[in-house]
Amino acid sequence: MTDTQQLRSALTRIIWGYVFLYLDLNLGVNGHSLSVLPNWVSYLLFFSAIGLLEGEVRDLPLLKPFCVLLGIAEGVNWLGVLLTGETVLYWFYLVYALVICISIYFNFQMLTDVAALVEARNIDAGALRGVRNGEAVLRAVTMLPLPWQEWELLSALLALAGIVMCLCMIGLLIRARKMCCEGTT
Amino acid sequence: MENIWAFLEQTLAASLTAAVLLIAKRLFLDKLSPRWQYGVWAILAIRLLLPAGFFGRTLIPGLDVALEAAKTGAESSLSSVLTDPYGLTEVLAPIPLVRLAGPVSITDWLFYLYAAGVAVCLLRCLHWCNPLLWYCWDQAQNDSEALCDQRVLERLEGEERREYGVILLSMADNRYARAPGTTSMANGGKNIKHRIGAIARFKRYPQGVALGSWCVAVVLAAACLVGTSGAVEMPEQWAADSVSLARARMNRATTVAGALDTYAKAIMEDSPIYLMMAAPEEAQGELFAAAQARKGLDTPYPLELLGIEKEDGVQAEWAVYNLLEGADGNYTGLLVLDAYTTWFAHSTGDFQSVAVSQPVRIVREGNFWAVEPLEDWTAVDPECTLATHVNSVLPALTYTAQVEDFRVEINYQYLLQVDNRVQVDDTDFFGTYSSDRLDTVPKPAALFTDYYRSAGGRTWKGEEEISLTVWYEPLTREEAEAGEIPEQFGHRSVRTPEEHGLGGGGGSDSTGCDHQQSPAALAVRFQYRDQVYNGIAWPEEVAP
Repeated sequence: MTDTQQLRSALTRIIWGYVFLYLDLNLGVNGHSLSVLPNWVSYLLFFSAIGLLEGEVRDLPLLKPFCVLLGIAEGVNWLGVLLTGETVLYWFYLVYALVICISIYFNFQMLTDVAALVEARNIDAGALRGVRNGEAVLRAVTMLPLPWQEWELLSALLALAGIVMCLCMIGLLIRARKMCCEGTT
Repeated sequence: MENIWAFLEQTLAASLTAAVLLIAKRLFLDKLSPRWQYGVWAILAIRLLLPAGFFGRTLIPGLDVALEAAKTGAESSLSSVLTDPYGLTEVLAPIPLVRLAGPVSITDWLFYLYAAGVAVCLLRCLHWCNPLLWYCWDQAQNDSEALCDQRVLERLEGEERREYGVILLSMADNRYARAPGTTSMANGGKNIKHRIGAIARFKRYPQGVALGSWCVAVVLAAACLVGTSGAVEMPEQWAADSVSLARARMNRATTVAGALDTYAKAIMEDSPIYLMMAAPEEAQGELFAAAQARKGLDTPYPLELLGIEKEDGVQAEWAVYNLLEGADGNYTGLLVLDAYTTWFAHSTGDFQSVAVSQPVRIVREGNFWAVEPLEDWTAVDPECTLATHVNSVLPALTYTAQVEDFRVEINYQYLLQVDNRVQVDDTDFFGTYSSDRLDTVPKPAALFTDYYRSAGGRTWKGEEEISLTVWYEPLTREEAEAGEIPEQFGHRSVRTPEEHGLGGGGGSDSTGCDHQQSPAALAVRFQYRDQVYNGIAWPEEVAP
């Protein structure tokens, strides 16, 4: 596989990873709602993408342990929903908060590295960095202990912002892949 | 200690004492018992708490003079805000007394640095017996050294960086961990090794993650400082284990409605563990023992008065009549358990009572509410077939007003409920269907969600009873005490003489009714021979 093919393959996996991460398609199983696009698949995809890109971006391998951790956490959650109908991680608030912290860092760093990768090919990645910032801030804000249920309008606006953000992110990643790998299939 | 010189005076006195004690202990090492060896440290502890120069005394005559001379010499060329170069140094208290003034001179900065250190050490002192926190503080200290290293390395280039590492390496000896005259910044050989490792990683930390690291810190801070909802699971009604009993104690009623709901359900379920959540402090021990022994309640089962046995499993809806706050902040009311809505009522004949009542007091105990029964349960008059609605059988509160020569008496019945109906799916031979059941699990934080009201009244002019149309509006205590009569009255009126319970209205709000008790007073308005009269009617028992 040439470098460009490798890059294309890695970016494709990252894009699919984010699709699995942000898109929820639920199926009723045993009276529970189970995601058929489970988040743990995202981390498998991210892990393989990191493996393909680790020679190109120095900081990417640092994300491997986090990727494994997040994959395990999401796997446990998915199994918990399948077997008990409950999100197991919610039972352990501080562990859940730690997982959120790790995932904020992971996404931020992953997108930083992808942006660096793109910029190394003289392609502007400012928009990707902007979306990265927005996503991190949004996730941090939603974790604040505020009365979200009472602030319905703000909650709806944040949810809308989240949807826009993830659509933008996937769109920008597809664009970055196209620009980086022009001429390859 | 208001400035660095006062601190120096105090710390010199402490150091002198410490030095003397160390010498004394060395001298008496094999001559006095370990008890003495340890006890003598109390002298140092007391010395630390006594301001230096206390009662005009000193440990070494002349030392204070030397310190004053040094101070004047140093401060005369500075313009410190904390120190007067020509004033006498005085230790007012053995702790730093920080004034809110921006530091100007080096001595001001030194004093503030010292005060900040005291704050950090105080935090360590608060949990001196917790080894994990000692470890954390040590880590924090190491992290501060690592930060210093980073700052230094940011300013150094090439060979200088290597030299800095060599200096650190030369200190990688535990001898220097607490070397006198140093700030102990080496902190042991092991930590030096970590710092050298960090220097080797310098510039290999991912760059451009400032925002990401802030977001992570914000989430961590929110999680660690605020935590999650502390809602404690409700115990099972017959649980006897220590965890369930703890859950009961942590689920004590926090609202008046919650206390009544919990009390009524505890009585109906004959559950001491439920009653613990709505019982006064003095009854907790007895209920705890009863719950542990899996015994029922000492009190008789209220529905026995209706001929229903505990084992019959009859459910009863509860309502409280005429709930009113007294001058002491506690509430009184008439609690009614109504079995009308259950199968039992349909199997009874005429003139069979279907409800029981008990006057209760709901008392505030700190942040909680507890229910105290004032009398035993009694069967409600059989004429009342639906005790969870307004009726003329159960009593009303009497509000009276004297307006000139007129005496107005309004009998106002106000009943409150918590919606306890839950829909459940039942399946039988013919299929699945939904039905209403009563929730038997207490809601210790509930608000009243349903209310019904009805009014009657009588009026007199002098000694003669007369017939009048009296309009009335509920008032809060504040409004009534301020004598606030509404400009407009609504449609609520009584044509005297009229009995209460024959008509009225009600409403429900799942988030809680506006009025969680009977009105503190009623504003009344009536017209007699073309003249309009206004007044405020107070409930008889709290009439000012």
